[in-house]
Amino acid sequence: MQRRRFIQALGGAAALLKSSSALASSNERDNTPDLMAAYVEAVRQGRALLVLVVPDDGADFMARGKLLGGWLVHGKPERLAPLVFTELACATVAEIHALVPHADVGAKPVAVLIETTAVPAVVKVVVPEPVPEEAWRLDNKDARQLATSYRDAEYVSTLTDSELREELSTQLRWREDEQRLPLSVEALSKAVYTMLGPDEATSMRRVEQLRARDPATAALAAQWVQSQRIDRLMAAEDLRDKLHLRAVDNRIAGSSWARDNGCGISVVGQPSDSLFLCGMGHVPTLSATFLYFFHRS
Amino acid sequence: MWTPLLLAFLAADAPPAIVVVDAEARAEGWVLEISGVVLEDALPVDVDVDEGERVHVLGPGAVDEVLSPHAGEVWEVQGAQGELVLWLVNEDVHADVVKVNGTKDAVTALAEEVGAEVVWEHETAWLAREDILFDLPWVTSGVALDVDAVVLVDANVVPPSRRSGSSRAPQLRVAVQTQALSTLKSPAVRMPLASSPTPVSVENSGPAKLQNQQALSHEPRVEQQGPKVTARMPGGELGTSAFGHPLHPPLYVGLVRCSGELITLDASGRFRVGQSCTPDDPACGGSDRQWSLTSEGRVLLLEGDAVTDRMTIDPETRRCVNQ
Repeated sequence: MQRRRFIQALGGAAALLKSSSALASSNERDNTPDLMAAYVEAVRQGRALLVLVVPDDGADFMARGKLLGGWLVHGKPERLAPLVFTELACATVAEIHALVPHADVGAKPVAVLIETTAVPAVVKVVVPEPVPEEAWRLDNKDARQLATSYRDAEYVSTLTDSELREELSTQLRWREDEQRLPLSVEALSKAVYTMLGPDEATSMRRVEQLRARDPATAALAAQWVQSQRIDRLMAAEDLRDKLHLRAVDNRIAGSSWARDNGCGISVVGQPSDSLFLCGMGHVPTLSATFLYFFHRS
Repeated sequence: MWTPLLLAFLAADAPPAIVVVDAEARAEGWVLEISGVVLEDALPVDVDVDEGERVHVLGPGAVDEVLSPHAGEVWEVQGAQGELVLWLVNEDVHADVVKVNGTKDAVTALAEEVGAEVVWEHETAWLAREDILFDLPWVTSGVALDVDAVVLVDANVVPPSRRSGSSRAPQLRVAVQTQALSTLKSPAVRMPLASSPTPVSVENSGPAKLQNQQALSHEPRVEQQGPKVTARMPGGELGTSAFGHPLHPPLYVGLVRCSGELITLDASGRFRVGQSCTPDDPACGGSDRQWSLTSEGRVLLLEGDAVTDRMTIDPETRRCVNQ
C-alpha cells in the first residue's frame, strides 16, 4: 500500500502533461470544402459518393462538361437508374486526394466512386472503354462532302485560303465530336452502371443503405432491382426522373449547369446578362445542356 | 541520492492497472486470482504493471484467462458470460469516483477506510476521493470487504451532488485528474470470454494484438483495427455511443474546430491539423496521423501507435463536446 500511495503522490505531476480538453468546440461547416461536404451529405443520405472529375486543364472543361451533361440528361433510364444509390459531386483530382489520400485514382479519371459505409473508404475508379477511333472519325469521302458543301456556301468566297482551311478544320472537328459524343456517353454510362454493381445482391445492399434515409425511394429502387422487363423499365424511368429532379434541375456540387443554344452559353443560376457569346453554330441535342466548370478557372 | 527520486518520478508516469468483477459476473462465479491468491470479494484488484504482474480471470467451466494489463487500464469482467471490457482511467472511467452497492455498514466502513466522502442516491452510494479507484484494492477491513459491488463511473458522468446542485446534499470534492495520453495504448474493447471453450491466454499488447484477440471471439461486437477507424456495426445498423451519437465512422469525416484548431478527419482515416495542411505534407504528419472511433464514440487521434488526443464530437454539429 505504501508503494501505491507514493506513486499516487507523484502522479499529479504527470497529470499536467496533456489534456484532451485542449480541443474545444466550434461549428466548422462554413469552411468545409465542397467535396468533403458532399461526402458528409452522401453519408447522411445513405448513398455512395460519385465524383465527376473536373479536368485540371481548362481546355478540357467543355468536352468533359458535355460528356457528363450528355450522360446525365440523355442517358438511358436503365443505365441511370443505379445513380439513385449515389450522391453526385464534381471535383478535381486534388480535391479527391484531399478526401481519400489513400486512394490512387490515376492521372485522368472521368469519375470516381467513393463508398460511404466505412473508413477507410473503398474507392473505385470508373474507367470507360475507349471509343475506337474508326467509329467516329470522318473518312475521306465524308470530309470531301463537307468541303464541297462549303465550296457552295456564299460566304466562302470572302475567305482567304488559310481562313477556309481553318474553317473546314473546325467544322470537321465539330462533326467528329458530334459522332464521338454519343459513343463516349454510352461508354461512360456502361462503366458507371457496372461499377455500381448491377447484380442483385450488391444493389439490394445499396437499397438497404438507402432505406433508413429515404424509404420511398428505396422501395422504388428495390422494385427496379427485383422486377423484370416492362416493370423494370418503368421503375428505371421513375428513378431517372428522380435523378433529374435531384441532379439536373439542381446544381451538382462543384459545378453549374449551362445551356448552349448555338449562339451563346447561359449558365443556370447566373444573371441573364452573363451570356457568353461563342459564335454561331449547330449544337447537337446531346451536348446542349452541360456541366459548366469555367467558374473554377 | 537523486536516483531513487528520479526512479520514483518516472514511476509516477505509469499508473497501475485495475481489474474488477461486476456483480452479475460474481454471481455466476467469476473471480480473480493474483499471485496465487483467489479474491472473491467485490473490490478491484491492483496489478503491478512495472513488475509485469498478471491476473487470472477464473470462471465457470474451468475458464482461466490471463490478463497482462498496461498502465492506466481498467479491465472489467462483465455479466454472466464474463465479458472483458477495457476502460482507460480518467478517459473512460473516473479514478476519483465510484458507485458502491451494499449494506450501509459495509459501505460506511469502506468509505472510512479510504477516507472518501459518501453521497447516497436511493440504494447506491457514490464514494469520492482523489484516486479512490486505486486505493480500493488495498482495503483490509473485514466489514468493508462485504460490499456487494463496486461500479465504475463513466468519466463523463457528473456525480449526483454536481448534477443536482442542491445545497443540502454533501458536496463531492472531485479533483479532476488527467494524465499523459501517450502512455495509453488502446481504445476500449470488449471481448466475450465464455465463448472460449478452452483456457486462452490473453496478452494485451496494444491495438494490433487486440484485433487478434477479437478473432478468438465468436461474437465480436466491435471490430478493432488498431489505428484504423473502427466502430463498424453489423447489418448497416448504426449503434449509438454513450453520448448519444451514432457509432458510424463515416459520419465523423469532415472538418472540426476544437480549441481554435481546424482538424480534418478524412475518409482515409487520416487526420491533419490546420487549414494549410495537405494530405502529403510531411510537416503535417503525412500518413502517420490517423484517427479512430472507439466503441464509446470518442475520436482518437493517433501518431503511429500513440494516442495523442481524444475528442468527443457531435457529428451533427461537428463540434467537440464534453471536453
